[in-house]
This record gives sequence, C-alpha cells and structure tokens, in this order.
Amino acid sequence: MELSQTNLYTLCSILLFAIGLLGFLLNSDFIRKLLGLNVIGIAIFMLLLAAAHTYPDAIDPIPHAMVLTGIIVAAAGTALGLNLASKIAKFARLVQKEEAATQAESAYEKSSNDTQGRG
Amino acid sequence: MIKFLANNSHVIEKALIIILVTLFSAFFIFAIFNQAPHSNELQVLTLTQLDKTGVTNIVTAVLLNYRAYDTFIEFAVFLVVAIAVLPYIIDTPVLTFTLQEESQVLLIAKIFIPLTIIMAGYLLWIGSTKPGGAFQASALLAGCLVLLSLANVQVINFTQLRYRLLMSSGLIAFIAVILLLYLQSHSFLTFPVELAGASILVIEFFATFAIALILFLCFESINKGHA
Amino acid sequence: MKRVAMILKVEVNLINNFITIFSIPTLMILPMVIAIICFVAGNTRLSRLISVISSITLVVICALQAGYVLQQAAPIELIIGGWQPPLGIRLSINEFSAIMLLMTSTIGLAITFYSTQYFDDDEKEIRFWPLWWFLITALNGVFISSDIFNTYIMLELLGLSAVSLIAIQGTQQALQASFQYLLVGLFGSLMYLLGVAIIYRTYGVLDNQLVANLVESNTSMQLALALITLGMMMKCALFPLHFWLPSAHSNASAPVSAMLSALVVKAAFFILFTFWFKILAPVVTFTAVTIMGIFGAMAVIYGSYRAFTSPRLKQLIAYSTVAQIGYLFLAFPLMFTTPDLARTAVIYFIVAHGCAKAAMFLAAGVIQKAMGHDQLSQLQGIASQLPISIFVFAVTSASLIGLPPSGGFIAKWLLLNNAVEAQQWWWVLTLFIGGLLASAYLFRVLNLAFTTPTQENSLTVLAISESKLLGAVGLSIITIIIGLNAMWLTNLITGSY
Repeated sequence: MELSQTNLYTLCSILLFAIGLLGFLLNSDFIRKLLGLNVIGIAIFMLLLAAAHTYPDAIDPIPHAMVLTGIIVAAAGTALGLNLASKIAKFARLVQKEEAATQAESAYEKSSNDTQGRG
Repeated sequence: MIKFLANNSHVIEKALIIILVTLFSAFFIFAIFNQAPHSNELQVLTLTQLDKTGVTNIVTAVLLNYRAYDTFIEFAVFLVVAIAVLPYIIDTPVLTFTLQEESQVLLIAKIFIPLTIIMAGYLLWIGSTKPGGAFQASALLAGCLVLLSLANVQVINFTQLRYRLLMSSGLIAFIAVILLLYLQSHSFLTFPVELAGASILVIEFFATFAIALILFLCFESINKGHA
Repeated sequence: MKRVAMILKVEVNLINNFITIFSIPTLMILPMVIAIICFVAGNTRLSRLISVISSITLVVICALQAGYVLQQAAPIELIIGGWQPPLGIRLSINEFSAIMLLMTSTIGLAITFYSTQYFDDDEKEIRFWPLWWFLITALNGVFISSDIFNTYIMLELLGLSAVSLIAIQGTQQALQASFQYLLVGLFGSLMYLLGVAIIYRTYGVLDNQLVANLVESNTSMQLALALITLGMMMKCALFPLHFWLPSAHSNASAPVSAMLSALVVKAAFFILFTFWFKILAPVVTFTAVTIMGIFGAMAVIYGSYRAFTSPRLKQLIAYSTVAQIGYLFLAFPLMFTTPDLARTAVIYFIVAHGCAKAAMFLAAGVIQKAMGHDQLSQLQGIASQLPISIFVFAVTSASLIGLPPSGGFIAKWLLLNNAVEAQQWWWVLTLFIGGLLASAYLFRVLNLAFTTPTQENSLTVLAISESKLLGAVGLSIITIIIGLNAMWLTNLITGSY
C-alpha cells in the first residue's frame, strides 16, 4: 500500500480521532469535554473528505455536502453545550457567593459574640 | 496491593483509557486500510443530472436539491438551539446599553461592517456556481453583529416578535417553497427545472439572515444574555 | 345503493391516495409548522389549542397509515424530489415503523393534553411547546427515514430538542443532568456518524436498502457495526452505559420525562434494531447477539435493584426504564433463531412499555405537584387524596410487572415462548427474576400509598385537579386492551412480514 494523499488523510483522521477521544475521556472539565467532541467531529469529517477523493480527477460531492451539514449541526450542539455550561457556572457562582455571605455573617456573629463574652 | 490500587485509582483509570484508545486506533487503522474504498460512480451520476438542478455548483446541488431534505432538518436543528438559548421569550428585564464613547472597536466596526455586508451578499450570490452560499454569508453577517455587540451597541432586542419571525424565516421560507411546489408538481420537495434556481435562491436568502441571527444569539446568550 | 357503493369506493381511493402520496410529508411538515407558530406567536393559549388539534390530526393520519401498511403487508415509500437513491433520499414506512409512529402520536396526544394544564410558569410553557413539536418531528423523522445519513441528522434534532426540554426546568440539577445528557447524546451520534462514514467509504451508498444489498462480513463493517452499537447503546441507556438516564429523566418536568422514557430511548433502539437485523445483518454473529442479550439481562437485574433502593418516586420510575430496556435486548439472541416471533415480541414490548411508562410518569407528575416533592417515605395515604393518579399507577404497574390481562404480560409471554422455542431457556430465568423484582419495587410504592398515615406524618397535599390525567387514563386502558386482543394483534403484526 503506497502512501498516497488520500491514504495520508485517512491515517491523519484516525490519529485525530484518537486525540479527540482521549481529550473527551481524560478531562473532567465541561469545556474541554466539548472541545474533545469537536475534535472527534472534525476527525470524522476529514475521514469523509478523504473518501471523496478516491478518484484523482473528479470529486464525489456527497461527502462534501455531508460534511457541510455535519459542521453546522456540530456547531449547533456546541453552542447549546456552551450555553448550558455558562448557566451551570452561574449557579455555581451564586452558591459560592451565598456561602461566602453566610461565612462572613457567621464570622461576624462569632466576633460579636466574642466581644460580648469578653464584655 | 489493594491499598495501592485504591490510592492510585484515577491514575490507573487514565492509563487504562490511554491503552484502550491506542488499541482501538490500531484496530481502526487495520480495519480501514484492509478494505479498499468503494468504486461506484456516484460523482458521474451527480454530474450528468446537474443541468436539472438549477445550479451549477455540484455541492450546492447536493445540499439543496438531491439531499435538500437533510438541509431542511438542519435548519430545524438550528432553530431548536435558538429556542433553547434565548434568555427570555416574552417578558424581559429591561437592559439598556448606552453608548459611552467612541471606542476603538466601534471605529473598526464602522470601517469593516459595510465591506463585510457586501462580501456576504457576494458569497450568497456566487453560491450557485462556485464555493459559497448561505452558511458562509451568514457567518460573515453574524461576525458584523458580534463586532457591534463588542462595541456596546445594542442592536437587537430578541424579545420582539419580528426577531423571532426572522430567526425562523429560513425554515418558513423552506416550508413555503415546499408547499408551493407541492401545488405545482404534486410531490414532496421536487424542484421543477425552470423554478429550481429561483427557489434555491429564495431559501438561501432567508436562511442567511436566520442563521446569522441565531449565531449571534448564541454568542450574545453567553456573553451577556443572562447576566 | 349502487351510488353509495360508488361514493364509498371513490372515498376509499381518495384515502389510499392520501396515504401513499401525502401522508409521509405531512408527518414532518405538520409538527414543524406547529412548532414555528408556537415559537413566533409566543402565546400560551393559542399554542395549547393548535397543539391539541394537530395531535389529534396526527393520530388519525398515523392510524390510517398503520391500517394501510398492516393490511396491504407492503411498506409505503416516498422518493424525495424524484431523485432515486443513491442520489437522493428515500423514506419508507414498514410495519415496525408504522406501529412506532402510531404509538408516538397516541402517547404524544395524551402528553399534549396533560401539558396544557401542567405548567404554571408562562415563560417555561412558551419555550416548551415549540421544542415539544420539534421533538415529535424528530421522532417521526427517525421512524420514516430510510437513509443512514438522514437518520444522523434526525438523531441530532432529537437529542438537542430533548436536552433543551430538560433544561427548561431551570434548576441546577436539571441543568447539570441536561449537560450530561448533551455530552452523551453528542458522543453517541458522533460514534454513529463515524460508522456511517466507514460504510460510505466502503460501499459509496447511503440508502438502507442499497447498503443492505452490498454489505458483506469484513473487518471494517464489524468496526462500523461496533461503533453504531456503542453510540446507540449510549443513547438508549443499555446497562453499562445507563449512567445518565436516571438523573436526566427524574429531573425533567413530568411531560418531558414521560416522552423521554416512552419514546426517545425507543427511537435509539429502533435504529439499533434496524442496523443489526436489516442493514448490516450479514455481519451479525451469534456471539455478538449473545453478548447483547447478557447486557440486557444485567440491565434487568441491576435496574430493578436500583429501582428498589431509590428514595424518590421519579428516580424509581427512571431506573425501572433502565430495567425494561434490558428486556428488549433479551430478544436479540432470539432474533437469531426465531426471527418472526422475536420481532413481534419486541414490537409488543415497546408498545406495552411505552404506554405504561408514559402514563406512570404523568401520574407521578401529579403526585409530585400535589405534595411539592416526590420522596417515597412520605407517600403514605396518598391514595385517598389522589385516587386517579394511584389508579393509573396501579394499572400501569400491572403491565410493567407482567400480570395477566395487561399488554406487558403478553409481551413477556411472547418472549418466554420464544426462548423456549429457540431452546435458550436461560433467558426465561431473567424474565422471572425481573418480574419478581419489578413487583417488589412497584408494590413498595402502592403499599405506601394505601397505608393510613400515622399522626406525626400526616399528609399535607395541595388541592390539585386530576382532570389532566385523562390522557394517562386512556394510555393505561390501552395497556389493558392490547393485552385482551393479543391474538388478533400478534397475527396482524406477524402476517405483515
């Protein structure tokens, strides 16, 4: 098997897929997981595009159309994911703020109790 | 031994994942290169039918004629995301962004936006013959809106009816075309040769605005949507 | 007399014409138009009105289609735009998809009616209706699609609208559950897409039938099948990959949980089933189906166990879905030896479980609303306060356990018969254990509901109208009816292959 352009693209797409998969599975961070999914998506698109060039002189347009459709759908999914992630982060910030507030309050109470005790 | 496993469980888990993924990739490479790619002549078929599609760009022909059904559903996917990320649909807390001073971003925006709009129009128009089309054009338009938003100019209040209408206009135009063609040819999504070019242009025109608006909404909803 | 006969004949012709030409596009266009109207108008009363009307229309259309397909024993087909595959896309309704469509529209009607009275927050409701109709569009699309790439787009539409429907609940748990569901959904559909890409690279066609004609058993097809199976297993929450389901289904609002449990997981199962036994059938080996069967058996036992230990009502029902999905996979090894029987059993099981589970989630929604929470420990004596909800719960429980006059009984009976006929009696054991465990966790709820509360934990229940449960009562009656007319239905289904 010679290393033609198509084969090189196919090989690279598989490697890219492995990278994306590792990124998705190894990270626990929301955004990184989403990015990992995007890399996987791009790897699949690359595999499809490599399959479109099996003839040297003509291209097969159907994989190209599939990739265009796929990109838009992936973008939509990513947008929804980022939106949800930012809403969750907002909740986390709220919780943090509340905790900080209650801590400050209890610290204040404690110090006032202390002063009273001393008085 | 068990203690060691318990202490390093996440390291072991990661190592296991890496090994599994490596094995899988090796199998993947083996499986793919073991099998010759197909040799059917679909591209010839798409080319011989091209004069019946109303466009001369072969990818546009696949997207909006041979497999127009996929594109139709894709618009729906976009609208779903728009509905999900809209911060409010009916009642808004009134947010007003006042234009403070001539920021640098606004300066850039003033120069670039007219040019970008012309560029978007051009991309939309050449979509039927060369690479280009609705998505490329809408990405540019969405870029303009993002630039304006970064310059603190509030352009769009998404709670208004007309913007909801505009966001769904791509899908509405598509459905309208489908229904009109139904009257003409009594079959689903069949573009008659003489009407195909015009119908595709109508769909792409409305889709450009709809998608641009939705892309901008996605940006805006994260940027300051539910602050 | 003659004239009447002629008019009748013309009418029949008209209906046949409608079914074969117009009905398939209507399944896609109608829900989408309703979704757009609901979104643009942003008016709850208008949305409720047109939603109920168009749900009824969809039920009528799907019933006509199912009648036509089962009677003629021939699928309805539509080639979009006149472009024959491999160039274009083909849509088709066979007996399996016709029944799935009818079930979707019927359950859809029940839940739509329920939802018109469920929400008390306008903002949520306005977001609910368009997403709801897009979800129905996607379900219809999955069932009628006969093109592997088109199925991918439908899956994405299905996944994203389901995620958005969970997220409209707006609580922190719901948002986290929906994000997890989004990740699982996107990962699952990407695995599916990779499988499709490998199939396209090898054979250069996308139409189901054309792929099925060309496929042979080789390494790359095995890889494609494995990837598609992985993706769909995640989406339909088969045992080792079920981790997302309980939180997603128990944190959504009641109508959404009902739809997710009854239909959305079944759509993924439908795709998996089509790939294993139709499109990539030459690749499937006995070892592979046995492995799926074992996963199914483990799902039955694990899901039932977790349901038994759940502290919350909706979580219990969600784990019960994990268990019930397992039964569907028990039919996989049987498909290998007695395909016709196993197919009928699968279809029967899907319908029985879909109707029962949807009704059960709707009843649980009323209980949750009335009590303000759904902790099982404080459920004592709820039967006297909410009699209709507990009635629905009890009838659907009978079907899930598999007690005689219900559809669930017939479904399990078919599976059992099948396993004996295929001489794989060990699956019978799983059926018995599963039934026992199901009765254990469901009677736990009913038992609590009927005990009189003691003084210190007397119930505080909001006065709440149970009229919205009309659809749920209808669904639970359906589970009984399909149990009583079993012979006729199984013959009808088997006769149409």
